Amino acid sequence: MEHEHPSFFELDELALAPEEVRQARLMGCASCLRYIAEQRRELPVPEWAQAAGRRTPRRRLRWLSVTLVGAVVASVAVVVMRPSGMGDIREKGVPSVSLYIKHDGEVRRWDGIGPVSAGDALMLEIDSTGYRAVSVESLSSPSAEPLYQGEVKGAGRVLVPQSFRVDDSPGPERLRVRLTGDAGIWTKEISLPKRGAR
Amino acid sequence: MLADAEEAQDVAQETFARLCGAGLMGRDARQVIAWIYRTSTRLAVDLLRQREGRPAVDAGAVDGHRCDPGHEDALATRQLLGQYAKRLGAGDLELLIMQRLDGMSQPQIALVLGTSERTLRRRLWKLDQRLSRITTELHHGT
Repeated sequence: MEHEHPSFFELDELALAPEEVRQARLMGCASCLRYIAEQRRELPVPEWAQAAGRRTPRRRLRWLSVTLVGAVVASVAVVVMRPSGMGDIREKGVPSVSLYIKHDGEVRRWDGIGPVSAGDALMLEIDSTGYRAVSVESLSSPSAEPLYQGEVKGAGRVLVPQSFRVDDSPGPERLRVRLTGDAGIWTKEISLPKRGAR
Repeated sequence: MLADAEEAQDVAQETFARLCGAGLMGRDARQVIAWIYRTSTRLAVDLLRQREGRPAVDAGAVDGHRCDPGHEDALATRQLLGQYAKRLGAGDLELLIMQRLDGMSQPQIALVLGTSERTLRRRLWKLDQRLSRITTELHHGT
């Protein structure tokens, strides 16, 4: 009798079923058994998942301890320092990300070109209407490192409530911002050249 | 489904992130699997529909883990997905993927979507009609 392959959904269910049920349904089909074996293999919980809900020091970008007061001060500084007429790159009706750089005590909005220096503090502002959660990852290392994950609180333009400090490692700082919500997934990658880096 | 490893990883990661925060601990495993299918399929559909201007799914770039009678038209369905992603609503694309690409049965789809089989049959019937209409349009180049 020819074996009729179950759907992936059924295979996933069978991965949790008793052995005799699984064997009876799969009839020794090698490819199905291989798939089941893969599903049953225990994998370590990735670091980014463990980091969800807690904050840990990072190798390339270190968290700044932003207190509530500090965040408020930074927000005010950002509003005051925002140059007029400097629009960020965005399509109409989609989210946008702006980056603010604190360098030598001055906060300025990143122009999309200029380099950053080791020690600079970076803060992200997102316009995330329709999205509920934001995550920020560093792409500067071979595997993406989660830097922040949390809910989007407030409508319109909001600051990501963490800032990051640029370290002195070579190469550009690359960040990926991901918004998720009822509107789906929206991602933006930002690459910041580093002063003095080759 | 997406024929793009990076996008697929994004969907898997996002699904996992949502799973971590979904509070499903202790739920029946079947319900959790259904939740994962529903969430990951919807995220993938969102990405498919955002692909305006990008090449359609390259069926040749996709390797299924098996070649079986139940999925022998999977490549054709992937091509359909590429062509229809902009012409079908998200809900129809979701059905198309589950029924024709994943090869899920109607009770399985109903479980995943949290709907009755009767409602599902009605939706599938409407989907067939839309697909026929779109196919005709494509043949006539409209």
